[in-house]
Amino acid sequence: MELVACGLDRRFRRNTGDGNFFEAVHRVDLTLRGGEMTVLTGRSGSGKTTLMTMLAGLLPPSDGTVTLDGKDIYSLPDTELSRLRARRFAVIPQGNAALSSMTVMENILFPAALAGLDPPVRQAGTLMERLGILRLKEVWPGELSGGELRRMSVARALAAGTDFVFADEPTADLDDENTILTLEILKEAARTGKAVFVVTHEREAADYADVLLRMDAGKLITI
Amino acid sequence: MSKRRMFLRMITASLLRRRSRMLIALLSIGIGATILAGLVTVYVDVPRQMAAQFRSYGANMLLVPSGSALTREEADAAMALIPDEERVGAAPYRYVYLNMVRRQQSFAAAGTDFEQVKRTSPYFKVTGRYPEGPREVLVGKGVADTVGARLNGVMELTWFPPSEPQEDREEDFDILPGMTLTGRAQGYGSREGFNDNPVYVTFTIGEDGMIASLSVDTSSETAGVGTRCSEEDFTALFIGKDPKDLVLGRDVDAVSGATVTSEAVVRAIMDAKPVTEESAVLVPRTINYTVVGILETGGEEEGYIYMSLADMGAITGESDRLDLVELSVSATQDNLERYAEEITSSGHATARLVKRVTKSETAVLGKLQALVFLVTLVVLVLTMVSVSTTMMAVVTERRREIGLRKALGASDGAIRGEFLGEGLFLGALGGLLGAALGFVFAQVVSVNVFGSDIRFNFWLLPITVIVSMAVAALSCLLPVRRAVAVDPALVLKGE
Repeated sequence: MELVACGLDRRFRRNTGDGNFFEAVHRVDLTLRGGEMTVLTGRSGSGKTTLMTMLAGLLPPSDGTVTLDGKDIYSLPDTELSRLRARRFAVIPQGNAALSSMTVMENILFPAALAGLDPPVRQAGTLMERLGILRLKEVWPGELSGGELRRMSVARALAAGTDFVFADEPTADLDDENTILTLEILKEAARTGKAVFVVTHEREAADYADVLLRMDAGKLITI
Repeated sequence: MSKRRMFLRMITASLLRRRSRMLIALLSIGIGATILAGLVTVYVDVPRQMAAQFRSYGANMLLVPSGSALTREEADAAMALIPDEERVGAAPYRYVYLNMVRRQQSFAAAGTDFEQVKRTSPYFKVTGRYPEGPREVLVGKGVADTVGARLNGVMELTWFPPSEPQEDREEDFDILPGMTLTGRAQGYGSREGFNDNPVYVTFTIGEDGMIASLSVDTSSETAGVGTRCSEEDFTALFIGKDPKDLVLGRDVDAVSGATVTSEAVVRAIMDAKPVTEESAVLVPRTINYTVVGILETGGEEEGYIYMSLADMGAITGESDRLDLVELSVSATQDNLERYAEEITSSGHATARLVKRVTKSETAVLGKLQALVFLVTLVVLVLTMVSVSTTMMAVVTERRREIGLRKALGASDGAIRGEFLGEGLFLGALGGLLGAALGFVFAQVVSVNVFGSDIRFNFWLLPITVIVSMAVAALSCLLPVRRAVAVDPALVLKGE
């Protein structure tokens, strides 16, 4: 089980005056494997999130391919790509990523419902308990703090039982204790066979990495 | 949580969590549906209402004699061809001219059935009341103004028999003692064209075969001149004279200044026939009536004097004859035409439709249909614009959530389904609401415009709901396209 990125390039149109395009990601080759936790660090604006978005099947690259099971995922029709996103990928986005019209529990069970799977109520309960948000399961997201929302996102991504987990700054709003806890949970997920991809500024994250990468001005550097 | 339950949850939850926006959309659809249901209800019910309304503007079918005269039996037989429940009213009419001798004026009089008149001519405005007992008349305002008739006043009316029948009977007879004879001749009034009424004489024959007694009716002649010929000074001159051989100036002298009338008396005696049962009625009859009501219609009815058919029979001696039956029939134009044809071909009477009313009924309905269609269309388009705008705002507001759903694996189809589902749900709810409110609206319109309750058509409920859902779905097309176009990557940019 490998997700292979090959020659990924992403340019954005920008009115800078000199050149018309801004190259966020430049010629990246990368492979994500099951059982590995890949940690990507780098300065702000170095293209980390853009790379992750392309890997997670949410942004078609300007050049290059993202291949899963021998198929370029961006050559798939919307129904298949979205099924892929539902069944095999899970994302922990930056910022508030809650569906405001559903309770915390419903938010966590939502991806499984989209994938047409039985709701993973038990896994959800266990994860929420470990992350300390079980008591909030019937609460509306609007009533949660930033840290609680973040932990809800983590629980949602892991409860679904997907092969790949993409986390963008999963520890951004968390205190030290919860940061460690979250990184541990992600590491455990990798140990159970998932391919975990974490974009972070957190220094501690390096300690949990099986593969540690750094991005600089759109280029990937292996450390 | 199953997939379907999650879908329902997604729709209802976002509806409930965004109450104000959804209320606006719901209100738009509800108002649209109300207008739709209301107008269509009114439209469907209007032909019935209007038929009733037009019925109140008078009869829509007339029965006239197909031969020389229409008898009651023939009229009844003709009317039996129309179903009882559709026959709202049937007013028989018999028209004759009656005279107010003292004023030297004649008026059209109608004998009728007032209970039926109330149904076929509901627009009749009667000051006082309709005649109920014998010798009561309802006087048209025109007549009342002309003769100065007042409520509860007395009106003396004289009927003169028609002049044709007697001429037909050319038979020989001998003048025998004890015989009574009557005759008539044109006097001054009729010769000068004031009226058609001749001078009447009635006399008896004595044992000697000569005139034993004589009475003269000169009520049609000039008062104080010709009428002096009925005074005894003049009639006494004829006693003992031979009714077959009379010469004015030789046997009797003319009343001075009334030569024409005097000549008419002589001619009437010379032409007199024995009184038989049939000719006995052919004598003028004068009856005093009480004016119980004054009729105002603004139309030609004000020129008539109305009395019951029984009173009309009493003064003319004919109780069976009718000239016209006014019918008020509650039926569609097609059925009316069919009934008229059936009646006419039955031979009992000739049926005519009152075209003015029925045609305008159809014309008004046609215009109403166009109006209802146009207004409904405009309202539905407005509803569409309003719902579309609201849904567009909802999509814009929920861009990030839509992106997140996509990132979590929602397909374009699922997003489309969610928004269309929301729209259809709003459409159904608004349609139900509109159907209920529309009925209230139609009821209010009906009561205010037509003054009667409306009938609820149950098939209008599903139609309103379906149209509302269709309008809502159409309104959602553009917002849904925009929702589907949302880029899932924007979620990860932390926007």
